[in-house]
Amino acid sequence: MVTLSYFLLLIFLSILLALFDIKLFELTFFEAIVKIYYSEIAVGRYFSFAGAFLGLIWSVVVDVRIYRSNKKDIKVSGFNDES
Amino acid sequence: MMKVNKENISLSQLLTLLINFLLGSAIVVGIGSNAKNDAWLAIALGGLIGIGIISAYHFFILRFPDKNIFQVFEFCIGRKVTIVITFIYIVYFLYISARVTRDFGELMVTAILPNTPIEVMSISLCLLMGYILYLGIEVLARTSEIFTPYLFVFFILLTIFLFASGSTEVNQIQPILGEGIMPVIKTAFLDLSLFPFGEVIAFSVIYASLTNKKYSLRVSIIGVGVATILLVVSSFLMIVTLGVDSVQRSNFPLLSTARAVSIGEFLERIDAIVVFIIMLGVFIKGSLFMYAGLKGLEFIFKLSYRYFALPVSMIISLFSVLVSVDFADHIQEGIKVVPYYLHLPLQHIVPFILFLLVLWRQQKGKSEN
Repeated sequence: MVTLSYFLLLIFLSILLALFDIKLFELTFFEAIVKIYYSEIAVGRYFSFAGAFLGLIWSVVVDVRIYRSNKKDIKVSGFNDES
Repeated sequence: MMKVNKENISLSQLLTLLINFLLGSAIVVGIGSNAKNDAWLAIALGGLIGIGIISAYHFFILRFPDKNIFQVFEFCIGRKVTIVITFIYIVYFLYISARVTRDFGELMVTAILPNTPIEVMSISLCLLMGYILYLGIEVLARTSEIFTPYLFVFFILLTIFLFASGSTEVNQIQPILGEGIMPVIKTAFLDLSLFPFGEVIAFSVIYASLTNKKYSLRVSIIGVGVATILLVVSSFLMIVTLGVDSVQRSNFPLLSTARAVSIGEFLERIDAIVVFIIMLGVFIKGSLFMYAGLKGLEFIFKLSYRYFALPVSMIISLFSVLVSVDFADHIQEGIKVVPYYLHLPLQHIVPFILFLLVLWRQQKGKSEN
């Protein structure tokens, strides 16, 4: 769920920024998306991409840990807590 | 099943959070400049509107004492539709958090650490925000409570230094209402009611954690009032030190104002104290918006918000860089697009509809009983 939320936020925030760029610079949607992620002009952006990748790894780790702990709970109690 | 840890925020913590939140990025970029010399008057009027706004949020959120805005939505319109609206609010809160982080990054890179990439500033600040929210909102509230007295001391020191150094010329505040009352009213209602005062919608998520709800309205009003006074004084200082034209041209007017201090060619470059004020405000504001977004995620996924803290902080860091190409673009977006397409509907229109729905549902419930 954490990973899912991560990707959803990434997608929807990108769309929001693209919509603003469409409004401000009169670009097409595709041009706006390319403009947002075009990183050649600012190499420092790779720091941010690296940070975002770290966040992705973290979210996958959290999901795995939640999955394992749920599995353990089911084994101990004999029924699924979430249901 | 999600473990619910009840978090408690005291009234003094609420007060300091409100003050820092409202100073936040407003003090970085300066507000009310459309009213020119009368910016301070516009801010004062905006403060009154802000008191009205926080009272309205307080009124309808505290009809459900232990519920945040997302849970009130659920009560009114059911879970499925609420999930969609909540997600819109999450994107909004995180976007604003990214913008606040960008403000701070631009300030640091332009004025304090010119050789450090802005991305490093963003990642550092966002990691800190993520970590503090991972520890819980109480930790953020305590941080705010501890550091706020320093903010007041530094603010008073700045005022004394400015007047002592003779950098101010009080005549620059004149003419008062030279262009009539309309620019003041327009600025207060069209600009300041959305930024920064409308942004207190983030507190609709926090009220559920308050320990003492009896005096929370009074404290909220005092918080908005104190923040307004600080903003009015800072606006006044900027105008009497730099003059209206320079304030309008400057990217960071308060910082430029602090740089005007020179006492006996010995006490100079006191920008550090302004950076402290700005840093505290930006940190609290960015964290609170992030917290509001995290609570939304908690509501949707039924998982503690702490799980989301670090990944979301990294998303904010990424988007604080991607949000605009440069500072001019960032400001343009903040003036032309954000207020009308995000702030207005999500701060005023949707909560107003929600308020009507709450009244209708409660009336219906009463008549059925």
